[in-house]
Amino acid sequence: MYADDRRPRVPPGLAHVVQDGRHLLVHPIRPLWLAVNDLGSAVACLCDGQHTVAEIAGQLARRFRVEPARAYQDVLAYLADLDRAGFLEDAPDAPDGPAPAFTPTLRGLRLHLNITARCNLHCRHCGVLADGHAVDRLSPARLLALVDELAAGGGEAVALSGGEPLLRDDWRGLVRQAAARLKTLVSTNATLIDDAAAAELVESGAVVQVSLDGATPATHDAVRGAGAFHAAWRGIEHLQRRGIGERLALAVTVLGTNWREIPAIVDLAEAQGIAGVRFFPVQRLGRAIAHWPDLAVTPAQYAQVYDYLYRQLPARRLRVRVDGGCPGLVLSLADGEWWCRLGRTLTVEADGRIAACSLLTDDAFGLGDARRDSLAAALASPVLRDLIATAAGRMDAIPACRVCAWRAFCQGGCPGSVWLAAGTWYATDGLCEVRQRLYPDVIFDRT
Amino acid sequence: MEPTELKTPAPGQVEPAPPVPKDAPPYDPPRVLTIQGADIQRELGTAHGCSFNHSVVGC
Repeated sequence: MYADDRRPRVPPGLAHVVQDGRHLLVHPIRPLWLAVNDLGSAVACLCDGQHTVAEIAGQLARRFRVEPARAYQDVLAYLADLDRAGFLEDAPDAPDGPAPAFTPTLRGLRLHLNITARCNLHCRHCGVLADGHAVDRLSPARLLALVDELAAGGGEAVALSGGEPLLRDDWRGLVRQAAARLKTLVSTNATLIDDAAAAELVESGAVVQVSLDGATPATHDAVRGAGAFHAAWRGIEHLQRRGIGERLALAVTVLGTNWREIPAIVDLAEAQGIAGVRFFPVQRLGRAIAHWPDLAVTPAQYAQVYDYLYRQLPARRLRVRVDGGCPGLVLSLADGEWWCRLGRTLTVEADGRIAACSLLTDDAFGLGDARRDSLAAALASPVLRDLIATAAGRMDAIPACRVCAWRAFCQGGCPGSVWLAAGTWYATDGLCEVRQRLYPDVIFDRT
Repeated sequence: MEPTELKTPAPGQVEPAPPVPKDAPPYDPPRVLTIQGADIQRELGTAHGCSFNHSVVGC
């Protein structure tokens, strides 16, 4: 409770975001925001540690010709809300910002396990292949040992991918045994899924995520090769006949060639009874580098895509669950929490290389060789420790981030995609303006 | 609507009562409108744009 002589103070540098007459307060350090009304924003401006509650209330009373006692009570109630939300300086336990680093452990780890580098397709945007390492070097026993280590250490999930994982002769046993121990995702192009494969996948309990890069054969096949669209949908039909139900999702890479079809892809998923769709921005990695002029998506195009996915689509209240996948678009974080999963995810390539992230597969960032190294050893690598520390320091080192109201949320964007696009950690990821517009938009849409 | 501006008096300054304005705007008390970041986040999905992250569908 604020007495007459208290002088409330919001944190120095508190951002007032005003858009179309609506107001947001954004904390300068902590990942906190508040939507407030016009007068709420004005009162926050007066909470500078210089003016008493009575003085602030007095201004309201005079300006709006309301009873001073009423204005006083209104200001008190508002300050109590600000205080509860962590927006007054004497709010308890206000930390200095996200923790700079943490110690990676197996607990909660997600493992992306590329069980083969072979593929029956030759996708133009594939980031896994075309890097000179397309050799399978992990035995079935070693793959299972990695899954066992992850499960025993409290790992969260494993994603089995490739290449095309179903090209590996022993995929059935791997999927079955992984799914028996952990949340398991199989990432596939679905073109090899016949009735028998569908039965195996459904009975395993794994989630199946099918890559789809267009709403039409022309768009999808232009990226993945002739016949790939119809072959994928035949595989999906097999899965659905076998009862995959809610464990079927589409994974869509947003490309310069398909961004206009995003709404049609969502409609297709809805019409075909697909449970979920995830969208991902294309990354300048692997084979995509050679085709970048065709595949790259401009910020203006992303703005249209994300405006649809985050603003127009929710109003349609479709059954299909859609994840727009805009990196760093996060509005709810705990103090000290990082949305980037660096240190909480590992990628193991089919040749055994262990990487911190599927985007950071340069040998310079190697964390070990899964043919001989444990996941725990990779997590203890000084290379990973340095990567985490570097990522944690980005938003204080990038000039644009230092002055951005939303820095505590996007935290400098995706470090991996920045590295791939710019060859430096200390740049933004090109989606800053898109996110800065989206943050207030998605809040006000729901306020 | 134009944002409301309040004068910032010097600390401790007692302002003389201004003449009662004839055009006093409607009074909408200062209010917090929403803080439900977690609810919005559930709708937004994950913030991970990594091409190989986990599925929107729960295992």
